[in-house]
Amino acid sequence: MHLFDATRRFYGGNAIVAGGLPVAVGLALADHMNARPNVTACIFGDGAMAEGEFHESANLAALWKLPVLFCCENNRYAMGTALAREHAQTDLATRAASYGMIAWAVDGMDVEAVAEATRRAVDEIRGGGGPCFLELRTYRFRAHSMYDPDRYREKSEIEQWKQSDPIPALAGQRWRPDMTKPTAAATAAAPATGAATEGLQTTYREALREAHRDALTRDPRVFLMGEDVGRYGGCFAVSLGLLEEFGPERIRDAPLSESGFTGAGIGAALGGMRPIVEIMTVNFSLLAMDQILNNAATLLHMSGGSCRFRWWCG
Amino acid sequence: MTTGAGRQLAAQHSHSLEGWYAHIPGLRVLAPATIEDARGMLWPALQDPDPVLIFEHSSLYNLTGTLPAGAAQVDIARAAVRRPGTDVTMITYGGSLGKVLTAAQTLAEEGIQAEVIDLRVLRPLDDEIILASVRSTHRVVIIDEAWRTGSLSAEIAARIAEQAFYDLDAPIERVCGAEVPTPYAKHLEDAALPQPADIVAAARRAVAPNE
Repeated sequence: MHLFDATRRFYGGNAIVAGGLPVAVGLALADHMNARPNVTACIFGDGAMAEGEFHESANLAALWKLPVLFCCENNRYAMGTALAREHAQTDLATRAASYGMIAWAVDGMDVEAVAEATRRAVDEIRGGGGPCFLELRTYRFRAHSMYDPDRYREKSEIEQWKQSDPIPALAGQRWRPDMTKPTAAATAAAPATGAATEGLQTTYREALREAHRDALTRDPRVFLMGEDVGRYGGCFAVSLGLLEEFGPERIRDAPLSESGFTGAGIGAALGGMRPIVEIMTVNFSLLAMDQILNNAATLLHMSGGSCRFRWWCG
Repeated sequence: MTTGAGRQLAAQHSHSLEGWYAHIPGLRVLAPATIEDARGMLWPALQDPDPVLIFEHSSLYNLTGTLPAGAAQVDIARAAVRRPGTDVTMITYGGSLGKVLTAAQTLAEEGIQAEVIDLRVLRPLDDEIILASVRSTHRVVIIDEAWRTGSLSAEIAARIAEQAFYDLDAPIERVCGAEVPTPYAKHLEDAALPQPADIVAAARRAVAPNE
């Protein structure tokens, strides 16, 4: 859970189930905006697919055709809750496909099949078609945690699944670690210096807009993302006209998914961008409280100091 | 993001929850109350190593004024004294600043000189400016549109009590939003929010607690 190495693009685990998914979307957004050939893989369980953050993240990634590989390790239990008791549709790949992305179910007990499916998915993503989803159908032999008495399943079920334990199955085979290739990371452009001179009659709204315009002009890494910031011009008209000036990539209308796009802003900041995440009102921010509290405020600590990032939420 | 009440948007669009975010270590929380701060806080926020949240009170967007030359950047660390005074310290932020300055003007006409502090930065709080003012005036009124219980106003009152108790000549006064879901009806909403008359009355109590 607490392993973390940002220098290797490994952004750790997350104790809040599905909480890392919006961040993965944001890392992919930063790569997309910088035309970097990276793919962001995020690994989660069947339990995460019942969380709203999965659905917000899947929609965002598919909508913006971002290079995300969603890897769902379906081990048939969300802690102690069996798949059929947590999902109305237990075919998780089918649910993911409804977002308009390629989604495959794979035998998660077959290492070679997982490697092959992953390679194919990454090729698809690098082809520019947007995210892919792999449902890796697998099983957990041991209890969920050291406190888990494991009373929710039959011992015979465990024994049956052990017959397809992937480790002995792999042991007799020759492993070919030919999947990953390092990719060069593009460097973000240095901020230009600029100074505005004012001494004019204005309003609070116009002053805010000018602050946005100034930041967008001075630093190419700055972008604005949120509900109705673009074509509508901002709920309070703060960003009116900025879409025409800076284009839809940098004045980015987001779907109504506060947790998803706030987390994406955090991920994009980790990816070297300077996102301005606009949440329409403080009431809506409660839907993003998990991302603000559990991710934005703790990543410096959780990453052992390796993730110092700049992110603004207005 | 937008915060605050006063526009008849009722119980689900009128909160002042910035104090909740000010509770969280790892964040910087800003509340621009002036045109200069609206213009100047964004760029330093983007340079800050920590995530920054900026709360814009919804009543402020049409605020009109002159932006001084060279106002493209302001500090995002310090509170500001918006009106100097000697008799009572009035501490506020965001959308309440205008009401407090109005109240201070009324008090001045009565001969009470209020010092008005605009917090600007809700986390981390600028204790230095708050305590210096309290040690000078010996009387405090805290004005915060948010609910009173477990609030930013409670935190400020606690800090003053911890660090400047013996400098106080009167109990700390608080003027806060009524602890109800914010009403829709205009007259009820007005009654639920701090108003200049409430602030004036609290300042009078602080200055003459035995009257």
